[in-house]
Amino acid sequence: MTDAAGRDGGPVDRYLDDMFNLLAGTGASGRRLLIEAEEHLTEAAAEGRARGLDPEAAERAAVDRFGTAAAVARRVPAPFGTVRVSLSKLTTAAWALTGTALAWYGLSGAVAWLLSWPWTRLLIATDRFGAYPMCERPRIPAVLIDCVRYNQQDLSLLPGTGNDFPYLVIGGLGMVLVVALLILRRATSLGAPSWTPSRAATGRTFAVLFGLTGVALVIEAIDGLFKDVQYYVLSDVVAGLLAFVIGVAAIVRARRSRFARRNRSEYTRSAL
Amino acid sequence: MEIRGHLDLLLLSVLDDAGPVHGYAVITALRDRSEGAFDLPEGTVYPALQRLERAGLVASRWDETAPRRRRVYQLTDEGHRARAAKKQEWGGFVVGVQAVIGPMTAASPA
Repeated sequence: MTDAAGRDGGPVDRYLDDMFNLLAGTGASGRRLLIEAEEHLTEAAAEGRARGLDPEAAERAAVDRFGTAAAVARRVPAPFGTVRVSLSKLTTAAWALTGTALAWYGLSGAVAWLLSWPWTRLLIATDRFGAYPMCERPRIPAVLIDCVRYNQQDLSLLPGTGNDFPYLVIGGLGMVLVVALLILRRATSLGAPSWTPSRAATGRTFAVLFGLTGVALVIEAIDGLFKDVQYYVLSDVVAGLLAFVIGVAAIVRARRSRFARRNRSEYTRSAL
Repeated sequence: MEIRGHLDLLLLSVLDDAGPVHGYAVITALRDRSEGAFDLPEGTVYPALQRLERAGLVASRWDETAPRRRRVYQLTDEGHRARAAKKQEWGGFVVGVQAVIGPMTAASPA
């Protein structure tokens, strides 16, 4: 217990308690940091008292200079490849990926629904000059239909869902997951390296998924060709090829920079 | 002043000059030698020292002779070489930047 400790402990004690909670799962690195932090803060507080500060103020000044417990704990090197660490990283990655995928799909649906209104009107307006005007000579003349709403329901669909799909709820849920992860990473040990997948692994995962989405779109376009579908084949081909090329380029670039880093470090070692 | 990205060189330099020292002394030396120019949360130095140790540039041990148990750090041979290489790299960077922005002049009175 420190010199300024009351019944609930002084600023240094409280700080070390916070840090102890944040360092859960960081193993020997975290334990070592906790010992060094206590040593450092005790010495810094003693210096403050020697300068004439009262014990409480001296401890508070030492803690302020040390940095927030979350900021320090986040920098603790991850323990070497234990199963627990791998699972921790996998959990964070799965959380981030799920949140991003839900946000992407839900918000894409919401945007597609919003855009379907002007696009439908534009489509109907331009189709007036075609061989089969959509609204002036409906294909089902016996049934009275709201032409705009009828065609809008087609245009607002994302692959694999119906018009009742709760896009906004799914998108909102994804956003909540992503924001919660960002906040928890700042405030808890989720931000520690033992819970953080490497940037390269995260980038590769996103690049692979992005490229696979491109492949799926191209497959859908080919399927559409056989069904003689005209309205989505071209956009699927363009978007699919673009996504595939971007995904492959990102993976190639990541591999190149990894090799470049390795070569540079070997060059530096040989130059020394 | 933001020192992110340059902390490794600063720590290696302090350890190179000071010899085996504990973390608190490293931080004090950093603060004194920079005359307080760096806005550095002191606690972030300890994880940085651990990182350098993992990279093989720094070695450390517990010093049990002091009244309180302390971790003492010193440069390895590879750390000495890395410090020299990083210093040279930094020198080239400074020369390059200086050539672009021009020589430093004292601020003229308004």
